[in-house]
Amino acid sequence: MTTFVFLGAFSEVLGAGIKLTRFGQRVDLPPEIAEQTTVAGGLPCIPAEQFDALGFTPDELRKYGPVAAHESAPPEFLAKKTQALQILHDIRGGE
Amino acid sequence: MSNPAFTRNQMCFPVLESTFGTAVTPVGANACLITSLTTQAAQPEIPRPDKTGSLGEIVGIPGRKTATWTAAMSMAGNGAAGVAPDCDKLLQLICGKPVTIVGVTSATYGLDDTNYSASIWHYNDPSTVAQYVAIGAVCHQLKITFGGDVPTLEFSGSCLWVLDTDQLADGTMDSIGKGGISAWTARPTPTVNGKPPAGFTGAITLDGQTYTTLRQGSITLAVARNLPGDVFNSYYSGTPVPGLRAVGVDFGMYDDDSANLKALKQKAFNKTPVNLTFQIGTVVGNRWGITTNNVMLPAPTLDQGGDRRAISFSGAKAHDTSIGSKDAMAIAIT
Repeated sequence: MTTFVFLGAFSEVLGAGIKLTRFGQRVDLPPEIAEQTTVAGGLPCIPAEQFDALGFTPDELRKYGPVAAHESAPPEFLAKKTQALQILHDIRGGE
Repeated sequence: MSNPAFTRNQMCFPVLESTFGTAVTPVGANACLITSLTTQAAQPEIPRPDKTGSLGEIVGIPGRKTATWTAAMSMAGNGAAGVAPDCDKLLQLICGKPVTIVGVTSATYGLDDTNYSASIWHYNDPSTVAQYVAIGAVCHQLKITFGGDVPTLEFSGSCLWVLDTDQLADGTMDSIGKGGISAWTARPTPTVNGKPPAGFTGAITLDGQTYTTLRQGSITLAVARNLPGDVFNSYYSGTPVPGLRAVGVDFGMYDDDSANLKALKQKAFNKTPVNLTFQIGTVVGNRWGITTNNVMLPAPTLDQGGDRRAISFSGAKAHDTSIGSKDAMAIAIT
């Protein structure tokens, strides 16, 4: 199991007990599901250590967990979110 | 005791093929939730035309093999901006172009002339009932419908053949119909992403003006990708042959006396092309912006059926802005 962090709004691995509903939600993924985060259609998640390095505060993740709240998020949060998505984008080779 | 197959337990895994008619096995990330999925093979009997000296028919001979597929689903984006939705492969199939990811902001599907084919895996629980895969599937049409509660995408097309687990186990089944499959791939653990936006939310921009009076609409992208059914010495169709690409636009709205709407109606009567953008959804990562360019609107028709008079523009067509620009339509998820 490796710890990942979710960047989307709602994702689920059916039958595996994995349901992700908040931006910044941490999840331990088995190798076969972790591997699919690198391809289109996989969970939009990045490794926790890369996410943690971006410096999101616990307060930001609590306030802006629901993606709908991002519309009113401050630029500092949105800049870090952009960096997180860029990491995913790079991991997927631009897919 | 036999086990029934319940239609609720149906799942779709579309995967692009690198060679037409050679099946590609799916992984969990290929899963795409559907509201309906049909994969239908057909092989008619060719009646024997000879007279027999009586009124009855004698048994004919096997005809050519053809197949079709349809898949409908809610219009769910990934939920993360700049990440392709689960229906990515089907959108590529109809658009003829890979998704363009712009930074971390958008996933855009433009148009191109490439003929992709896909293996559309059609699973049903329990695993002991027949499982299917549409091999060499090409897409003829996408219909996008919005304005109601759930915006929907409906894809349809033809395919080389629909193989099932029973045929695969049949030693007399020919190799083309097996699409290179020697052993069936069990259904992978599906990963699904995103939810559809409410179909009545978004922003509608018609000829550069914003409207809040849209009632419903649909956009149809049709590409005549023909699988030639006259190949000699084969029961199967040939590789895809491209034809005309057409974009149709239909929408209805409430009538009023605004200057903007009057100007739009006038352009319909003048046959002045306009650009129309229908953005469905308001939450980042799940806003579907469908742009149609150079739309020549038909004369509006009045609907007096409700308390408030409505008008509709039905059968409008979008066009490329110049020959070869392939920009009659684009779908951008932001």
